[in-house]
Amino acid sequence: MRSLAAIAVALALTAPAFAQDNEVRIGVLYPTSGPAAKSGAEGLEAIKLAYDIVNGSYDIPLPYAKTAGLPNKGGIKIRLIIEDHGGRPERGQAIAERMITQEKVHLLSGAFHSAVAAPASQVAEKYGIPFVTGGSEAPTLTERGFKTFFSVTPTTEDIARDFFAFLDDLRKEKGVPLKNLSVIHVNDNWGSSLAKAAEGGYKKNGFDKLTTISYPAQTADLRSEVLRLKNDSPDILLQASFDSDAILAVRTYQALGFTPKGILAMGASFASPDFMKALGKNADYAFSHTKFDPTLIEKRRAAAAVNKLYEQRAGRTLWDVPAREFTAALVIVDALNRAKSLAPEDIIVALRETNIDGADTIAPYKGIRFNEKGRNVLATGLITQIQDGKHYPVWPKDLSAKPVVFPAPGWDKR
Amino acid sequence: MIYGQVLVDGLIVGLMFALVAMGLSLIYGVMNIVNFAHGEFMMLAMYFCFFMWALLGLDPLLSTPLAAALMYFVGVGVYRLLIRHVLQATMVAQIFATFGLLLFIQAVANFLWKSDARTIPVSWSTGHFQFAGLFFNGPELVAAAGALFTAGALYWFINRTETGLALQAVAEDAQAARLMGIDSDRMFAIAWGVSCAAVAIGGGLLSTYYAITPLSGARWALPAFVAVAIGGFGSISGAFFGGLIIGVVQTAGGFFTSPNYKQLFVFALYLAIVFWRPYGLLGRR
Repeated sequence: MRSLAAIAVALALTAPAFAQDNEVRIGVLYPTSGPAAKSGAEGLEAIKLAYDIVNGSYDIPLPYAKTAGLPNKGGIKIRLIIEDHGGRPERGQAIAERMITQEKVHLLSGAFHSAVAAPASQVAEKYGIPFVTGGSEAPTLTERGFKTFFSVTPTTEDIARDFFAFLDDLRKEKGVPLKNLSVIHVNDNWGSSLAKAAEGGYKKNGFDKLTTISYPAQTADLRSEVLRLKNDSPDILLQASFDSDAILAVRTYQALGFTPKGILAMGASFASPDFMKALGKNADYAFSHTKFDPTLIEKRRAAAAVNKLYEQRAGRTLWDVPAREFTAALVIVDALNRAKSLAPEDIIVALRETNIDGADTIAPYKGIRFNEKGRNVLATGLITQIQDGKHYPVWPKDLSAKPVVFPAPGWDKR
Repeated sequence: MIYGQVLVDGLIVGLMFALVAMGLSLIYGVMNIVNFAHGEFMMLAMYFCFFMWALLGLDPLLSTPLAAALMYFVGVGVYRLLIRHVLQATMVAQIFATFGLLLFIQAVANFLWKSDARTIPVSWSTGHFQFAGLFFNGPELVAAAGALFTAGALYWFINRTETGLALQAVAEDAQAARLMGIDSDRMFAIAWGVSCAAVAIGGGLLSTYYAITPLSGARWALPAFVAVAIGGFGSISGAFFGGLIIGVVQTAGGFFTSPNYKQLFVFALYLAIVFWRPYGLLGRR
């Protein structure tokens, strides 16, 4: 009995330490284990860097870098509460619930996997706590019409729109007819959203046949999938895969002699350095939709300095996932600073009034402005192509660094 | 020609399933324990081959036998340190022991080697060729041949050697075997060693073309469990044929309908077999 009382007293004493008013608590749900652990760990590094820059004082041409803490809020600091969900929706949901009710976070962000962001943001909506995603791309997330959900990243629909515009340019430029389209995707809501966006758009964009194939994440083999693709022999393949699945897929294409004219991938896998290390020449000529490329370092005034700091931490240059998360973190900071108070409703109002110019970010976005569904209407990306083991932007034209190689040469001609 | 390719591909992946399944079945057959961590031993062997290649430049085809030898002792060690203590325990305790081992090995791998997808880009078997209109991938073909060879060796060991026969005797009736002078504790340790060595060969052969992550073993373990269930728990040859059947059924089923449903055929077949023969194709009561 006495020990129980002691515990109660101890809890009563420590509780205020968890919920102080002289700090802003942001809950970060992110995968550092599971199928996207690698990309997750590198994205998380960028999130931590962003808040360190805001909390400290850095000489970087970014808003909130020079001042320590949030200037409008008397220099109040931000504390991150980070937890790994391993890509599992039920875990993400439980973490969100706990962060809101126990840790009293002011705002949630994450979750990389759209499949995790969906249930976690549902919890946030229930409690009226804002949820900002920097990298979960499924358009269904914003289609729910939540009042508390904000998506800074381009969604799959934006990505498909960019893909189709790029393919149309290719058709005109190279004079190659592109009629037959296939989609291969991991069978979660993120992967399926690419298939759905393709279904909605392929006819309008000059294709007359579409096949979609899904597979479970962490599958041991992709043979029947690839044999099916080979039988359909599409001109263009759109792909949504996680890291090691993407490597397995390309090795299976090569093994079975499946050679589409172009592979267009969304997400982190084809852009990750592991992918190129694993596949060497066979990684060449694949296209990725990405939200960062080193060539942006010249076009965005803060990118070089941020990249340097990021390299010191992660041992790797910025790429798609970290750049997007970094950008989203600064959107959060901007809203927190402008908010009338740290009450969730005020933060939500401030988020809704966000109006950031693309030049003030390190992303290729035209800017950040949310529509009534919380979707960033100014989100766009780049399309890069791997040539000689490096990514080069090839679209849009004004950011292009190298001419496109299309159609891709066969596997044995590399 | 595409039909031939479907069959060949089904058999190639089926042989790998078979190899993983046989080791699993061996442990179950001898001591009635389901080793949930089976795939993790495979993952460890993949990392071993990766590091032998990365640090010493040793080709995975050379380091695979080394991995098998090493994993034999790891298997014996796991038996002596962990499994022996739960042999007399309830089934739930045994499940927790091997499932806990799975989580432990995965977590250690994640801690030590992070989740980078590591790969061995080029090995001796790297290459492609076409034969009779069929596409073949060198590493996969070598892996399938290695799996077939290991399966044969395992079959020979179980049925033709004295130790193998002793193992079978222990599997049939441990107490009676002990009365005949067979050291069942030693037999159990050998079963674990051989099982881990077999799955290590699978891991080594796969390391020539699979990305290696802490989760690489787990993706092979589930089909292996189904193969064991189809073939009959405890039957080594049942596990072999179970693996082949799964490989062909999922590749062909996926191809002829839609790959979205490939698992459906495997599990439908499993259900059918469970209804028809609850102990699996070659299983005994």
